[in-house]
Amino acid sequence: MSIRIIKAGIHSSLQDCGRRGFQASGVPVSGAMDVDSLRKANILAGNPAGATALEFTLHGATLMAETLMIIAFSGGGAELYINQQVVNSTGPVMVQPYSVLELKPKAEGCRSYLAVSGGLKANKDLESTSTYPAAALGGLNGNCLISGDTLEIENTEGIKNLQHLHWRSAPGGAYVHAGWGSRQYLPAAEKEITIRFIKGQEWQLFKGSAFDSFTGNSYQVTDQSNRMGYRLRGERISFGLKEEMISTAVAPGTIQVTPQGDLLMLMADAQTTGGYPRIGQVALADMPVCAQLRPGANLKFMEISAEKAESLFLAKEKQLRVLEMIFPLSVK
Amino acid sequence: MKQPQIRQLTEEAVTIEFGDVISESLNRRIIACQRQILSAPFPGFIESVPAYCTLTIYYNPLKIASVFPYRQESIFSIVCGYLKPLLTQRDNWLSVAAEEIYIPVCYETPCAPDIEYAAKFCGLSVKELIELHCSINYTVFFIGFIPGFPYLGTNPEPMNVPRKAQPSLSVTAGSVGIAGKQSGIYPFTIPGGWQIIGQTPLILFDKHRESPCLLKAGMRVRFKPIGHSEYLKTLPK
Repeated sequence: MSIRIIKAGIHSSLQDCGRRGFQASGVPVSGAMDVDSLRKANILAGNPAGATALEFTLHGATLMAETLMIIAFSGGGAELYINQQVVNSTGPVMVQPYSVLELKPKAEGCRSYLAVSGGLKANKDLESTSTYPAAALGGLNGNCLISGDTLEIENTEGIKNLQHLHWRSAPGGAYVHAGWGSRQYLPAAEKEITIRFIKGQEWQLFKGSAFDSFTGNSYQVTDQSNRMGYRLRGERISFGLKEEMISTAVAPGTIQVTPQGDLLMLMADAQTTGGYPRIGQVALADMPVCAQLRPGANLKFMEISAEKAESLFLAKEKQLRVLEMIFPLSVK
Repeated sequence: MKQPQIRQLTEEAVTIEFGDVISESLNRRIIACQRQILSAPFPGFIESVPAYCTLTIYYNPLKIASVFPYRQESIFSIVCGYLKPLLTQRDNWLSVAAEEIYIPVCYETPCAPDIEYAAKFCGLSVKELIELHCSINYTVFFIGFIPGFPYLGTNPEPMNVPRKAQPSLSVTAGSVGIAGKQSGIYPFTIPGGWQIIGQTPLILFDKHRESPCLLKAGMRVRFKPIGHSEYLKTLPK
């Protein structure tokens, strides 16, 4: 039961829901950038929501399913093709041995997730399989995927429980699918995305026009963006700070302002502490939306209260629990 | 002493602010508070991250919500409710005993590419700089930047050389660097901007160790000079 990486793509890695409990040792949380899409893919494939799955950045990867397997694809930074046929199903898909899976360009989105029923084997370091190459943690020997890698399926027995489903043939017969799925949320290509945030710890440095400029202007994700963070292009924010700030905790979603007045939005592999003033903190519920912003995408920031952010987060988590309950697969 | 302030960092984290200066007594207070929380973590507690003046507590809001299904207040105020009593107990922080560790450092070329520049900048001879660096017990204020990187303070006067204007593309793992009032050690070979004055053969971060990180916040560190041959001998293969 294995998947062979024919072409690795831009930044393809194994991820789970992140590495908690080691930030005091300087270890970032990591995990899927769009943790909702990873969990959705897993739920649809019948896995525990936090199982190890593949994260792809944009398009370019090509894989071969060497054995019969059931997969679920989500997030949508690319279009999935199986044996040269586009996959329209958003639910579980059964692929025949030696099927070729290709990620092809799409107009919107940035990150896709591929979950395989039974989960993927990966190194578990510090309680997580999330790939963090800087310290060689998780993934396949601590690294992103390269061409020629082979991924093994963790639980190969599980698939037997799934074969009884009423599978339908896709047009052209390139694969079969379950006929049901879950709609994906994706930011539209041209539209400007609104990201909600709560005030950052140093927001008072940016009182008045600086803060207005932050919420009033639109910003663009530059290509100096990766899993650690995004550098945003837009109106620079001036502020008065005589001395350097004393370093303190930062987290994924922290929006820092550099001494030049540029915005940095920290993402999954963010360092644990930082010394730039924090103007805002992205609402946790909107982090998956940020994860789907590709270089060139435009966004605006909208302030919400901490209470509002908390209730948005709790509501979204409830939705995922509902998904877990209503989808019929279970590999366990 | 200032009363600590609890502020929301994210929907799953609060930061306790203890003050606004870099000082060892503040660090001791933060570490004492961290130990107290770790000795009796509240339901939903995940981890705590000390920094110079702050202690950040990460928690699982869903876990807390499940403990209080009929709550009227926010998760944030429930967490504040857990933490506030700990912050008013002022006496405990004095009694924290610090672990001490010796760190062997080779200050000779080729382990110390920037030592001559640093010494000159500080108006010292290389020998004086080494003696100064080994003359005090450093405090591990916190671990940050990358896994295992300790922020050590504070360099004795007149050691106060700024970071490089242009960071080096590759700093070798084990490199001991100085920047301003701080010393630090690079656990991995990565780009970095601190002035490198030596190298230790110790492994600062090893995922296979029971405790992967050699140092932790609140520990005391003393540098000990070793010769280049001893450095090579102790360097893990």
